[in-house]
Amino acid sequence: MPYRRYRPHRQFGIHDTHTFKMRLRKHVSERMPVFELPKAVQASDVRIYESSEPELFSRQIVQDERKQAEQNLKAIFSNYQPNTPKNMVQSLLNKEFAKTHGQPAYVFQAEEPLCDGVDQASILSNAIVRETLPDWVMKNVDEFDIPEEYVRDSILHGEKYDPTLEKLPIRHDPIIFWIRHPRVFGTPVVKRGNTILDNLFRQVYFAGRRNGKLQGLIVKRDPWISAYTESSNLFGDRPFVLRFRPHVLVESENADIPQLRPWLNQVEEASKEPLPDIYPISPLVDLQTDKFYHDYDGANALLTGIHKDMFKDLNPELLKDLSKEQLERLGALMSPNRNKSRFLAAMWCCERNQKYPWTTEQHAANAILHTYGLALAEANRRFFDLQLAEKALASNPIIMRGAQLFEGKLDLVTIQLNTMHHNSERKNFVWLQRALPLYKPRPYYEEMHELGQVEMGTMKKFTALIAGHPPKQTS
Amino acid sequence: MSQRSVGLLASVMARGLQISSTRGLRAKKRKEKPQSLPQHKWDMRDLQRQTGGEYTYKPLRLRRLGGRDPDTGHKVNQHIGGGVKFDYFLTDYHRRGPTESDKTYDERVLEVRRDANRTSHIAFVAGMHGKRWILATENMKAGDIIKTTCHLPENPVIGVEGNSYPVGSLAPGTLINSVERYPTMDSEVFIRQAGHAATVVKHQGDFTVIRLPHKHEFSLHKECMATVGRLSHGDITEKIFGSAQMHRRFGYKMSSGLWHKKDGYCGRKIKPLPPVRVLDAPSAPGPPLIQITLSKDQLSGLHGHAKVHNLLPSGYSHGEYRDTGDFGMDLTPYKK
Repeated sequence: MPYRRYRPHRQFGIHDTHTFKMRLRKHVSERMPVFELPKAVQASDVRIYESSEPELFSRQIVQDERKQAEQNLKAIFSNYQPNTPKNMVQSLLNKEFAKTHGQPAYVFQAEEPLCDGVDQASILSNAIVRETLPDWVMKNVDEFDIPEEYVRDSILHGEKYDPTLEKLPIRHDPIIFWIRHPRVFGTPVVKRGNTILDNLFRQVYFAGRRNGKLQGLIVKRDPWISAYTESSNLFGDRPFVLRFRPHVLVESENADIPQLRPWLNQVEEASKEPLPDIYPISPLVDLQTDKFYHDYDGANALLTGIHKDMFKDLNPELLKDLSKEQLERLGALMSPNRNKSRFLAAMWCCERNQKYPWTTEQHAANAILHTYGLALAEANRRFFDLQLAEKALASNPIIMRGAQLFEGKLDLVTIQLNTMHHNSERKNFVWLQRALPLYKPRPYYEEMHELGQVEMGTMKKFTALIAGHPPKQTS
Repeated sequence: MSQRSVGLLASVMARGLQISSTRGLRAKKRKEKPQSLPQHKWDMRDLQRQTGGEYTYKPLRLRRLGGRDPDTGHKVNQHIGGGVKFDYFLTDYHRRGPTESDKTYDERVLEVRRDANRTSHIAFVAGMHGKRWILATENMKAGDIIKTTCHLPENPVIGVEGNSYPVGSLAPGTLINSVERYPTMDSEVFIRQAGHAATVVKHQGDFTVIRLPHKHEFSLHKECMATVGRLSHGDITEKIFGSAQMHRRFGYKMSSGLWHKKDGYCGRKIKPLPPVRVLDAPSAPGPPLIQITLSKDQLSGLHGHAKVHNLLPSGYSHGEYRDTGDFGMDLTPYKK
């Protein structure tokens, strides 16, 4: 797929030049039809930019987006009611800001591989890991019908066509290490994977809608997720913070979806199983030490640089210094709809480190901690008080699904969050299927012209995981 | 030498400065052995700057000196230069464990890999306190558990390969590597080369005598830590670079034709081994380096009447002599 600069194989002679000039002249002389705005676009009443404007991306669009975010925020403040989360956030900040701001914490940022893989992830997430998919996923495998042609198109869209021509990283060959390979231009691996995940999710969504499911979904792209647990015996007096950025985050619009408790009966029995022992390695050995910012990690919003007085009244002067991203975060935090949606699933992809590649085990562990972090983030934003959260989770655990794409293979994870606290007697459940082959990709520096075999079995499992609905309660 | 100059010299010496000078040109001797030159491969100050003096297991991209002196920038070693830049791994030579008899600090070997910057293989180990790179011993492999103890038992123990003990606790005849010179965390270590090992010879009170591969013996404090076993990659001497170009890729330049090792034609001089050297305390740091720039006049090495032209004392010049002392150096800064 990458683009190579044109390099002639043989001498470009005078006759070739003559022919080329003739063809070019003819090509240039052809008149293109004048572009007319389609009526459907005109009817949608969207702002249309002039693409030849040199400052289009540097100024115009940025300004407009910022203005839009500012207007949204003002609208939210104008509709302020005493019982909106605004008060909750204010009290939260007043009480806990000073207490927890800058406190040292163990942080997982998906940058380091876990030494001991799944076992270590199991301890960090306080979960019993089953190396299979849940029963309801396996039952739903044949429920959704997605033609193979659609899947092939979805994959080829990411792998074959170049949406960008970025400079790709230097190629490193561990055998002939002294060779300087030519730099190629194309689409980075992560961007390709993200495109494929987007397409696959779209196919899943349409398949679900055809079956009358997956209604009222909100899909977010590249959101920052941050979640935390309180200090426990494992982490000492420090909280455990997970920060990462999945590409696709699926939320349900309907906060009143029936509470799922499929394996509630098995919690007590399964919690008696011991967690794996990874002695002599400490489970914390791969976590980074950073500071815990309650305004970022706790309230799940980036408020760095925003003064507390902003919450008393919307001061337009203060908004001037904020970036578009901060405005959006603030709007999301203040939004009365904030607590009305539920995280359902997330998808992301990884890139191979050329010099120090991660193992399959380490990728699976990464997928577990991502999904666990997502479930924690959902619990964090649903329950401000962690003590109350424990009681609520005992009767209504949180189910979260995650899919990780790495080199054409999918790690599928389902987690049932029964507890947020590592000292609790209850344990969480993780169902893991690691490195399920979907297709065989080419190296990033080569072009993919033809897609080989696509494993539709993997696609069916992926579909059933994302679109399938767990039963309300199992016996 | 005048009385005043002697006084000045005494004041200079009292400040802890060492002055050395050579008179005239040195006699032409045989060219020095190239081995005595420092390699100057890596800029260790860059390492200090990047890590802030703290240990990191992450691969680093160090500045390469290419045989140049880091201070002056002058080419010192012409046989070093060029080549591919490899990632640099900091290895931890100092292992510490509990001093109780029944406790050890355990680590698991996660990976053993070759390192382009040193001859021995290196092992990535993880324990309760973190991850680090150490030198791999001969039979070390991924999954091994290695132990470290600082306990000094009454009777010497037979060490297990890869484990680390104080040298005072090991039975005579044990092969060891990464041996600390002094029982401190910043001391240098013996035995870092692939396939090498020192041998514990005997224990004498608080000291233990070890024999290095070149048969010299050192007496170390018994608390100095050492790892049991021979270092890995012992067959590196049998491996060949394959081509001169491959040699260059690793940053070594050709070195033939300059110095010829004396062969057996003249007979080899058998020198007696030096006596056991006792390393009881680290040597004090040397005096600080002072950079003095000499003028062309001073570099002439001429003093007194020899310094001026023959005709000048005959009245052609009435200028006064500069106060340069008898050493040909401007000692004005030390007159206070």
